[in-house]
Amino acid sequence: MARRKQVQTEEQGEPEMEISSMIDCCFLLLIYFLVATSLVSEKKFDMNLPASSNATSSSDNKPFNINVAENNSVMMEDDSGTATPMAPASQLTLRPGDPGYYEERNLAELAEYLIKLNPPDAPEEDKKPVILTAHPNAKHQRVMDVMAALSKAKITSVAVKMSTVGGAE
Amino acid sequence: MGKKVKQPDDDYGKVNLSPMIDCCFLLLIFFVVNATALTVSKDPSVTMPQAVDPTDLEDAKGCIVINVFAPEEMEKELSSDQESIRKGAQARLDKMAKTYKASNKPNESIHYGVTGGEDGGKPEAYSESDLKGKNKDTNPLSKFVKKEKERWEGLKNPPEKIRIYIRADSRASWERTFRAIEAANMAGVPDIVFGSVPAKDK
Repeated sequence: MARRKQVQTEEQGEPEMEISSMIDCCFLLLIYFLVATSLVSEKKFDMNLPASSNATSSSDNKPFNINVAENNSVMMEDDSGTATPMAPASQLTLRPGDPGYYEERNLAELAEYLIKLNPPDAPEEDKKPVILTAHPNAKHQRVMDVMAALSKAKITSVAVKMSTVGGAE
Repeated sequence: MGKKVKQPDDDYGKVNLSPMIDCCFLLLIFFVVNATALTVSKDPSVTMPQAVDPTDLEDAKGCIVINVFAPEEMEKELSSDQESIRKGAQARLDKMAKTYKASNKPNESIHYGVTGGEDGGKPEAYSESDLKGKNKDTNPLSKFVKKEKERWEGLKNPPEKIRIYIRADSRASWERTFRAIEAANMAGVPDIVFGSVPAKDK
């Protein structure tokens, strides 16, 4: 009796493969890739830049000018020509994680102003064109701050320019 | 007698695992494919700018990546009083020098880096002076963009739109980024995407 039993269990056990370790492995890989993808995710801003900065704009829509100066201060000039400062001068030496870093990135005032002047739900042809002019020595980061504000106001068509220094360009 | 009761118990205890494994593999492959879409062209030598509420880049197809470097800022960091910053800058500079070795440029004049071709062809580097005051036939970056554009368009399934993905260093000057935009415009690709990393509110 005892011998018969032993033979049977052996036969039953033979065709089975140990898959649990493989499943473990798979899950581990799966989780690794999930984490890896979310860690390195770079985001973006879509901007459709008119081909040339002197593109003809529709005559009745006077453009807004946003100026980024050499000292990284941001000025907004509305269609009547009045300039409002939107961000103070800064050398942008704060690093991510420093106190005040997020506040420096977030140009909430500019975004609000843009939303007021260019309501996001208005038809495309009623939207006033925006010209973004930055000094050649202004930091790319500051321009990105302005782009973030523009994207918050759902403005995706912007003419970018570089302010002229000493007759260059 | 006892044996007969035991055997059906053993059968009920088993779950068919093969569909689950199939599923897992499918998911795995899906994520792998998703992840490799843009990671190929990410150059770690660029310190990405941070921005509030950027949007996701859903489709990396048709993106021509232009890396804009700020080597002078990295060199400045080499004399930082924090060891981690010094080490990071050194590693980035070394990586950049290694990647663009073929272009025979000293580190301080590598301002733009591009990699052409589907299979991540040869990396090319340009400096600001290579681009300044050039027209669309003499500007090397513009020529590169044009070549890439034609390559994308010549594919069997061309992407819906061809865009420029600018990965500019946050500390690069606007002039440097602007030259890249200019070159893209000259090559006839007006759709620009600016890469950034979301800024976190603490």
